[in-house]
Amino acid sequence: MRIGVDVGGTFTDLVLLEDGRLSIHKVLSTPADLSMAVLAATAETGRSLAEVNQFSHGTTVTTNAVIMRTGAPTGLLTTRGFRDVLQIRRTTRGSLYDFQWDPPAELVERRWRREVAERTDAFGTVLRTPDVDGAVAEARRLVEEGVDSLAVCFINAYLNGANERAVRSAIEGALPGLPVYLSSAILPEWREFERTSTTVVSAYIGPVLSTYLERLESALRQRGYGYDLLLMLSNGGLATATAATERPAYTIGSGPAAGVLAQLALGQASDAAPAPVTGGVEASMTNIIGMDIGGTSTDISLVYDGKPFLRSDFELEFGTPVSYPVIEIDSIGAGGGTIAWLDSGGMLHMGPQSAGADPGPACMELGGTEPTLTDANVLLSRLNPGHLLRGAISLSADAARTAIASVADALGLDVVATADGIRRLAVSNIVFAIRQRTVERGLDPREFVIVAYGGAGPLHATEVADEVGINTVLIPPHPGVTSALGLLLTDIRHDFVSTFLRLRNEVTPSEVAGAYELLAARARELLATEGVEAGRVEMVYAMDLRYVGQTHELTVNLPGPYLQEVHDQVPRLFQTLHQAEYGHSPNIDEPIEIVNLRLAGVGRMDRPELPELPVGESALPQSHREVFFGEAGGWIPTPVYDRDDLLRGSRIDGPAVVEQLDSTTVIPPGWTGEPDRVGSLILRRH
Amino acid sequence: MDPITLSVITNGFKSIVNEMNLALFRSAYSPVITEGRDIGGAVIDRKGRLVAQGDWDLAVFVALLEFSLKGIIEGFGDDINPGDVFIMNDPFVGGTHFNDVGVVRPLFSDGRLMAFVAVCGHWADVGGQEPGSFVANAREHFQEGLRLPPMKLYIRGEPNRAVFDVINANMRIASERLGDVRAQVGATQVGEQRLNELAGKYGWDQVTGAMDEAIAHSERMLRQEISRIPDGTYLGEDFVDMESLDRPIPKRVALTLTVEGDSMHFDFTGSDPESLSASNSTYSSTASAVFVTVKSLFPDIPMNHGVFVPIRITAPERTIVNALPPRAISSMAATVYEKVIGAALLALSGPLPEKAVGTPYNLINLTIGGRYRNTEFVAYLYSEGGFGARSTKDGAPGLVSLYGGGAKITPVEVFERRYPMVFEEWALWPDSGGPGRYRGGVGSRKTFRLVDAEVRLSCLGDREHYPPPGILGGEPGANHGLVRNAGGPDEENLTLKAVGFPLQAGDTVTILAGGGGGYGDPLDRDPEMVAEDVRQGYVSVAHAAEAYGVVIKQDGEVAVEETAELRSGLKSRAAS
Repeated sequence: MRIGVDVGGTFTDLVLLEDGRLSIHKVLSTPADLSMAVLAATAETGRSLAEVNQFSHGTTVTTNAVIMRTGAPTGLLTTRGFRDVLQIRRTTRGSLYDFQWDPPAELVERRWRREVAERTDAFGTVLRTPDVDGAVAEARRLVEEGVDSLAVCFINAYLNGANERAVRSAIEGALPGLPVYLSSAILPEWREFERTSTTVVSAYIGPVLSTYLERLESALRQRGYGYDLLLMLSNGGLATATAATERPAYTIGSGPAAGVLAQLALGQASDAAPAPVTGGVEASMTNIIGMDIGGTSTDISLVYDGKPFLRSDFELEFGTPVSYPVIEIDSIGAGGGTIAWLDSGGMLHMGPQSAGADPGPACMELGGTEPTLTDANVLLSRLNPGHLLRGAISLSADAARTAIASVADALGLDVVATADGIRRLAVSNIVFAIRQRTVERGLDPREFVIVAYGGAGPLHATEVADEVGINTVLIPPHPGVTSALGLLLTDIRHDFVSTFLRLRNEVTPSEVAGAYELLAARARELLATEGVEAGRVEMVYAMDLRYVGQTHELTVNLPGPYLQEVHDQVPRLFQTLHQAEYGHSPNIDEPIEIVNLRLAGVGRMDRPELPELPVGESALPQSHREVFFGEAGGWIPTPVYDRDDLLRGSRIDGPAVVEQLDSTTVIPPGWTGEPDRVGSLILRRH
Repeated sequence: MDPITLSVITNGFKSIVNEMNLALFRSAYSPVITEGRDIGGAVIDRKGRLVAQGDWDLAVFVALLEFSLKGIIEGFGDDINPGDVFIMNDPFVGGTHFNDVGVVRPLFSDGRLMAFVAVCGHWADVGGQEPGSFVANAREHFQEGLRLPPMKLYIRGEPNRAVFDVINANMRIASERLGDVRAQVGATQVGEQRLNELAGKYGWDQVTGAMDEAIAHSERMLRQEISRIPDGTYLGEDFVDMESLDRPIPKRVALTLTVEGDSMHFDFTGSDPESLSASNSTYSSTASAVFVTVKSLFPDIPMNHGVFVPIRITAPERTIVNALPPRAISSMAATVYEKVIGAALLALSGPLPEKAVGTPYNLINLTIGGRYRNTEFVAYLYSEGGFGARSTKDGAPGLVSLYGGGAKITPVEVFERRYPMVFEEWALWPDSGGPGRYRGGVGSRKTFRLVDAEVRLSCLGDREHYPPPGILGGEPGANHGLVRNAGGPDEENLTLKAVGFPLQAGDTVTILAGGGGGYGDPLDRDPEMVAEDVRQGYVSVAHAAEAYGVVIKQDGEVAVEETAELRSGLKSRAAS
């Protein structure tokens, strides 16, 4: 039996998978102590954890600590002369033309950033050994002033961490118990700001994560769980709790990453064929635009040819990068709680402000009065006020109407037209974001299917698809807990990087292979401590390359270990990727610089089979109601189905509404819905 | 028009510009475009009025494309046809410096001109006397590269070979520049396709209707804001340090701002005559600086033609704010442009005290070139500085200049690996923020040592004599500067106008990028805020006493009585 628990801002979701059966539980998150909701959801299953042999967990505890600035009071030691690397950042401004704009507060305030006399040059030679006495004195003063965690980031330490290590061992001797995070261990990659930021984030959240995991693990043990607690990382892999605390910043943004894995697994497991599209291209169930619409935002991700895009320029918020390779997800301010408002010129806008869970949309009557997307969906009868979480939460259509009326009056429209307008505007914002992501990658959206999840994704999926030119949408079996499902569908994975900076034609394959072996040894060692058998370990190789003279590099995936034949293939692989990314590429003999070596150590896990949906009779609607379909002209009597009644062989023609515990799917006229082999609802335009 | 459709279509315009810009980032060759994001895009209506810009348009491109369009429409009239694509970089028609090249594509429906889409990008080189085409001591624009008045790059869908050949024959690494042209043409194709899709869905009538409405909407919003500003005439001025090293003559930008009802008149009459060096601005750059200031004061108003309507600009010909051929203009960015912003901020500080801000620091761009390890190299080192104080808070420290927009600084570790430099310091510069009730953001100070090779150094910068002004009693930020071997016996002021200065191994270079101007009287600053500044190291104990009249004790706390005494002394001295 396996359990996946994903903690989100509003809800904590649990998926239990046993003998090809899937059950789900959803409880409200408990911000004060996030582990309480995890245990509450676990208790709701009614099962003993002694029966569970894998407990996978995705948590926002570290993300929250940064956003709410509730992490450990953190100090930073830098090379003398470089105290402000963290604050100067890359000098960019978050809003180009706004005199009132300020960057967010740094995680280490300036007075807690101290300098150490030391220096390593840009080729790894130590020019000056560190003044360890001075470093210890600064650390001691910082602790006296209230610092609980320390980051150390020296210039050029990505090449040689000796000075950082000397400082750490001296501080550990003098101040036992003070956690010290070294940039050369956290991210041995060049570019001092990104490395400093990643190290500081690690120091800031590390103690929070450790405390949280210790508490949760011991509670799970008390309830009979006998294996390692597995934690989801933002690179799309799992790690044992102990391994995760070594590089804590990998836990940031991990929940959405699990959602991307689930959407891919559902696309791969589907036996449905995508509907044809125009323009001489073909859609594929493994080219996926993921659209996760939650309470405050829409997360958009791309999977192309069965592979998610990784990037290492992730920013947790403006100016706080965590430069690990993570699954690329873009978040825009368009969720159920997103607020509709008028500017001083009288034009209607959506977001990015959100009513979130508190005060929440007006219809929840928790204090929110501003009109939101959820209020619009209630007013249009797309959401059933009595049905959310099977009636556990009730919504007030009157409150929704009042909130929307405030905007409608100013626009000179009636409330229904305004509600429909709010819906259209939210959809168009999502559409523009998807267009920009695909243009940026040079991809044609018509080659994709949309996988729509999160509580509100299935409400708007076909509308987005219509605008982008996509004719197929997949709604997961349990759209509201898709990330939790993804926790059960992935492997253990640890990524390592080292900066190499050599010209390809000036190194031998064995030199490169030797440098990779240093990374592989670390990966093997870590995976062994996690109990992964050697036979299940797999290494994935990639390198960051650039043509000499270029300022930025591209990551090229290698077919295997760095042998002569791979060395020979590198120019071709890079040229092809460069062409695909930028639309042009130089000659094959253009000199190439190997900037970074990247290696992922993967511990393959047994992949559970997704339960098959039984074949059955065509579903009958549970009820009918009038639902507003703006594009189809207005109110239409619409059958309402229970998702549980949809068995294989069912076919629903739009207009229809499909309700289930964690979501509501709207199928407009012109679309049909049919469940696939594993119970995903496939919507096609005809 | 239905207000929902208006909102959707208007958002669509902005998204179209963003998509064009993304397509350009993806496929251009010039690193200034792909890394520095030195670009601007626009959707423009059939009359040549700016309808929308995107999220990443650099300062100088704000408003600029409308001038370019005016040049095209006036120059070609009825000879604008389906399949035509225009190119231009002429600052004297509508542009900045020759490096900023615009590509414009008209859109047609049933043979009727409906709109234009356009993208501008900064090309790494456009020919002329120096690689990179910036020539601070140029006497004529002919030294600064190839000038392209509006012309057809494509005629009814066919490439105009003559134009490609001229570009190819007049620029360094011409093959890459032709790549930049292709990328820009491709970006306008994306814009054309998207705008046609929008029209396919809503019809051209609604789309052009939405263009009119979007423009009217911005005009309405700005008029509302202006009508809150008291009527009157307000003066502003700012100074360029000198024309160039060989012409050490300061230059004044003078502004008389008249606010009347819901419109404003920026009159630059009285500004000094045009420079004989490259420290000049053309009319369109000057206008762009005015609109950037307005946009930064009222960031919620979408930038389009509607913003231009309530604002009139007078810039007399043959002055530094409206130079004409054959004057050189490539130093505009570091000199006159930022002074127009400074003068405008000063003029607005009186009537608009809640929104007005101290002037930000001035762009500094250092170029170091030479031979290292048997190859030629050119390193660009931008410097970040402080922004001006606001009516409710201090200015932000250590950011890219207003002009420099989206540019990212190159990391120390990259510099040291690629070039013969070792940095000794790269940090915020204490005491450089303009004192005030709210303090200007501090600037930065960086020092590198040349470890090998011989190089030559050139600089685009300003404000070593006229620092970023404070407003409403606020003091200026620190003087900017560029110094060789600071603190040594052979210390030398290189000046921010240095051209081709030779450096030897062992020399250090210190770049001082000052802070922003302060807001309000520094003697009115809350002493506790001064104490916090001292704790955080933004202000030294000595500067706290001198500039703010605040005495800080050994333990970091405010000495209350001594502070009161010092402040009253300073106040009476100021009064006498």
